[in-house]
Amino acid sequence: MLFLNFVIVLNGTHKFVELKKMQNKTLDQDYSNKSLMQAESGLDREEASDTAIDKEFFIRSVFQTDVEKGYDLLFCHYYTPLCSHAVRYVYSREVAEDIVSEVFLAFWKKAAHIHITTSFRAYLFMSVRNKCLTYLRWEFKNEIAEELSDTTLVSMHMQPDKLVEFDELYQRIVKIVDGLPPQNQKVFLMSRFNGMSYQQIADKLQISRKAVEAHISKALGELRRALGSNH
Amino acid sequence: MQGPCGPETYYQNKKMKPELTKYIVFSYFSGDATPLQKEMVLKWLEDARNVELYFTWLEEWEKMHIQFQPDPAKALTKVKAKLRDEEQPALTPEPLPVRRISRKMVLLWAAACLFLMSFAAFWQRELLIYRTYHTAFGEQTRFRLADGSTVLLNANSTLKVPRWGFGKSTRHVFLDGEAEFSVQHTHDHQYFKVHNADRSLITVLGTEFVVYTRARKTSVVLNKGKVEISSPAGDQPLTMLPGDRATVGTSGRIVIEKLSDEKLAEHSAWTEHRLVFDDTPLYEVARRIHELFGVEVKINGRELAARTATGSFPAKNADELLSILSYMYDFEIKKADNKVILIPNR
Repeated sequence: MLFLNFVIVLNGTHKFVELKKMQNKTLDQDYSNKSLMQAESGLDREEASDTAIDKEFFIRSVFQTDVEKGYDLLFCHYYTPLCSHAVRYVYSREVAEDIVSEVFLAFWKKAAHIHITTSFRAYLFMSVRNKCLTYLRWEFKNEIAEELSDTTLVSMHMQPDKLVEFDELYQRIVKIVDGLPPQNQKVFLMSRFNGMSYQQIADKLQISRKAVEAHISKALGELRRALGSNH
Repeated sequence: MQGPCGPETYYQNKKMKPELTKYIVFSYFSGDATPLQKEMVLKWLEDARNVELYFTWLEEWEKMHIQFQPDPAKALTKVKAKLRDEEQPALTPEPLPVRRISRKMVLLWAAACLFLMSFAAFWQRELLIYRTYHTAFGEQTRFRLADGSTVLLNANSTLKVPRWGFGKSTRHVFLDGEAEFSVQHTHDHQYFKVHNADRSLITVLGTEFVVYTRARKTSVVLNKGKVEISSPAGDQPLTMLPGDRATVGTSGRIVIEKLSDEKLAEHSAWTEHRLVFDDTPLYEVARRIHELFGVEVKINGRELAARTATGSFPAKNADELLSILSYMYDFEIKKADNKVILIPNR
């Protein structure tokens, strides 16, 4: 019942009441209710990929009857994995969430559900990856990349070598962070991933503020070097 | 040839050289794949249909290896709030970027415009208050005024008529030149007043009369009805009777005389494009030609100038009249830019 819980939390109690009421209402709503239940049970199944396909299909069908509801479902379903994916690139919880939110914002504004040719999943992942790359370029190379249009995004990033390149990029970043000396890594993650201030880190680790700054600049230097060489 | 590549298909399709399993792809995502396995993934991705499966597995893999647990509910509320904020201005379209003009400036400009307009109105008040009828040299116009009176305006003459309320509150007209009036009697017996060029005034109720008025002289000939004439000299207004001619000289003195029917006709001759002279000296004729046709006529020799003309002459244009006169008085006509010189033949 994990997913159902999400919906309820999201839309507040009135939606929950609505859900209850809906059971005896129109076929459409009945159908969506059933699908919801199916999707639920799907989570328990061994073959999780089937569930994922079902979920995508289900969200699409909801979009056809109620765009806003479809959007809510889409958001709740993909927000967490997308954040998880984004953070592999940017290594900041806050930035990752911002990037994913931006992608969803753009999705709504462009009414992407109407014109995208791929699955929502592929579109969202590609958009997030693209934004992450733009962010990294901006942070580490002071390059300002232009936002890609949806068509370029799809045509470019669906190419196998591009996909692999993106995979290798986050894997490289993981390796760099993983390869940092323990204390260095600790400071870096506290600052960047958890968004703690230098002073907070210094207090917690009982080191000087200067030392925190040195750790951070060393870690960032490593990343800059690694990212700058290839991109 | 690669088939639609679900994981099951891969197990079934043993002909495929590389057997790509979800677990290989997962280890690839984790960065644990060998270079050969990476090569397999790249190959596998070359089939566009596998790309969707790739993303499906990526999602699945991410869900199994969550890096941190964000709060989607909170994030969704934030995104929706942002959307609402951005949609708000779209719903109530912001006024186009018109330059904002302060109230003070508006008032200032309005005042400036008002001032300019009133200045222009004052300056051109004649235009605003009066409708002006003007005839060119050799031209005659007949028109009807708002009160039903008709006017025949002779050449080189100007009649100013008030634009507003003519025939209702006032019936004043201003004449410089020569005109025949046929004034309509109104129900409320309103006076029709002709202000002449020499500031003499003709007051009428309803009648027909001919006025000749230039700065130096005014003459009024009454055909019908009753007319009162006054001059700025302060004389008592004099009343004219039909067939009378009133002459106001430069002194402002009004002289009224009874005209014979023939003489009476002479004064209206111009209305039929004729000029009637009765012992009129040629210099007077020359002045008349100048008035009517804008042609300056110079007469060489006092003798010629003093000779008098009598008779009715066709007067459509100056040339016609002068050629007849030259025949009668034996002079030659010499033309020099808008000037005609009469030279007596010896």
